[in-house]
Amino acid sequence: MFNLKKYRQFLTKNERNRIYLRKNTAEGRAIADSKYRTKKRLQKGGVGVPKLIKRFKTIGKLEVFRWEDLEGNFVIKPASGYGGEGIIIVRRRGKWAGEWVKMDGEMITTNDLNWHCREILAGRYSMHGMPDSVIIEERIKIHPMFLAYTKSGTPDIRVIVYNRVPIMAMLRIPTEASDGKANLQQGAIGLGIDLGSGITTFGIQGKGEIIERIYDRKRKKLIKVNGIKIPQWRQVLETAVRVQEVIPGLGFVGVDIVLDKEKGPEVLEVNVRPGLSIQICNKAGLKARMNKIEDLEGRNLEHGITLAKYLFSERFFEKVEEKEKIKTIQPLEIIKVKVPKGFKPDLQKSEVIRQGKHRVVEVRGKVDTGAFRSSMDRVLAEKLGLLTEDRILYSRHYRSSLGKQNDRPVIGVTFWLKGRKIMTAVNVADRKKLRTKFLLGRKDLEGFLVSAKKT
Amino acid sequence: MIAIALTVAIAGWWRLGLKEIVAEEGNLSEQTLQVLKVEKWNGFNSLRYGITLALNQGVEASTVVLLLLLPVVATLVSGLHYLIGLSGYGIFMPTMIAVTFLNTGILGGLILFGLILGISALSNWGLKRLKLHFWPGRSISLMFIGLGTFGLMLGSQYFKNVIDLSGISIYSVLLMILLAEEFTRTQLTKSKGEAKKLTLGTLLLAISGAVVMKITWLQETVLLNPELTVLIVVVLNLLIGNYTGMRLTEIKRFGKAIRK
Repeated sequence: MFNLKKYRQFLTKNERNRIYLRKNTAEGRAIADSKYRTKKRLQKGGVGVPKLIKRFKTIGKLEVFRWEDLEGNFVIKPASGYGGEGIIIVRRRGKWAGEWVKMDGEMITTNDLNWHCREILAGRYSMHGMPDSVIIEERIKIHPMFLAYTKSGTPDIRVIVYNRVPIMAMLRIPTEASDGKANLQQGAIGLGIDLGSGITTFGIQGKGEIIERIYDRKRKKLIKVNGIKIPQWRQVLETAVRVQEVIPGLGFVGVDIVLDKEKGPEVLEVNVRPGLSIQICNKAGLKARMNKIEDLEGRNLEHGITLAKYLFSERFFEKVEEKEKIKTIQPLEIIKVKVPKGFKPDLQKSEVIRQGKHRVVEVRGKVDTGAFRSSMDRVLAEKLGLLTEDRILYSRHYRSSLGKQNDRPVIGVTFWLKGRKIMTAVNVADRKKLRTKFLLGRKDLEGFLVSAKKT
Repeated sequence: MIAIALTVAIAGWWRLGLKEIVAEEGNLSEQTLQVLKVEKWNGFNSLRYGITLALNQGVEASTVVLLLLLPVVATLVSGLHYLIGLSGYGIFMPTMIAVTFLNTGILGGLILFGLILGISALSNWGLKRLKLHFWPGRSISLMFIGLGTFGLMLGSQYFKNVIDLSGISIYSVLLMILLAEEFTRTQLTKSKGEAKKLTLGTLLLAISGAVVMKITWLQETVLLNPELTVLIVVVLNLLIGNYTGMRLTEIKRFGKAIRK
């Protein structure tokens, strides 16, 4: 029943309201709240953003603007709008001069566009009705992969970044209920995304309705919410972390990213008060993840993403469990450890095996359910190229059963056990004098049974 | 639905009990004045001493009580928000509407609000077609609201035994207009559901605030112990202000996110 302990992992609204103030400076918040300033900053810092065509601050400038110079393919936005309101997307010119075709196929005239811009300037769509400015930017060409899930509107990916480490992500899909806006509050669909693989996990519609299936328009049937792979996942995460590098004073943000067919990930918006429903569609708590990296900081882009990948990856055994029986393993098992891309392992060639597109090395591992984390020999880790600066997640104090304490680096490792892929954080120890160079801790043994029978 | 039922129930109770409460209040002020008079200034009761002086100079006792109760109601509203999860349009709106309810009565206030909301929705819908500038549109909308309120005051004369709205002050009307504006705004910028939720929340918070404000015992207590009232308000708000735990409604919300 109701177990309060299980709620500790979640970031509550009360706490979010404090953290966003504590982790984001006034300057950072001011930049993030203005789409125009965000765009300028990101552009300067080399982060992809939809290209700005024009910006109006006054009606005077608007009146002399020549709409007919535009070719179509543009978006009109209020600079300080929120919740996706006041946005008009124009796909192309209409048949006659002064006519335009919107995304949903409806006609709109230049007069209508002018009137809409005046409304934005008067502050109809800004917070507290303050006078606003108008942004006209290039329309994003939606990545074909997303076209299957939405009729109108652009799906985007919300990544929460904390201390330069991506800690949670979701795919937001506009629905008819949300009127083409990718905003959960308005009834859009949110799908949780596994940070390690970029594959969707659970789903939610609106602010709290759990869904298990969504409609695939290409295949014309309902499909499961899990198992959708986001293309260019690594670049998406990189873009999200880059935002924190480029805009100063942002320690806790939600970055909204769209995938352009040609240009790849582009940042739509930066949100300093990201919604909390992302926890529901990921079925995971932000608080627990934040605590995990509280005293760490992404040293650089590479490190931040490595941390996310190895600390917050999903284990897909739940799904596997349904299909196949729980696997039984022996106390001693051969595992296959992945060698990082582009690294020449300090081993004989015959030891390195190809497995699909990866190179792996077979290592004998000993099961130790008394240990939490798995552990790996220092020399072996060095040989496999796993003990480089970039791959060390952090260093931790460990107490061995003999009461000795020492500082051990924790590294990200990908390995296969009985054909099951495991991405995990492993600590590095001196196992020179031991026969098995790899110790399998119980954290990585979820979904396995250990047999004590003699073989 | 529950919220509406509750509202109607409270409104009904309110109308029945209104006369007795007002009568009691009259007595209360005199009694309180009697108690206040024996006060001697000793530093710790400066506020109470000041109140005695003010009352002697002709300041209305009810105004003083209202001033002291305002932060109490605001504390109640913030407590309901941060601990329970009941949301309205900020904190001032529910507090102000609570005071408005004192003037109009809860049922009267709800009728007034419904009327204003209806008129502004209707005029917005009509004005959209004219494609006017933003502010002239609002002006026309305001005019309709003014006329409508006037009509309501006039019309309520004929139902005097049920509800009397002839004594509505202009401030009540203005605050109700503000609330109706927030509703239309939220409906535009967020969603209909959100607007309904927040408006209902505001009314609910305001009603609970108004109910608390009407408690004779509380009125008496704050007037007799102004220093204690100030202290309790500060302490309570410090406690609520530092609370980072869950709101009651979040138990349901995040319950869905727990893996079995």
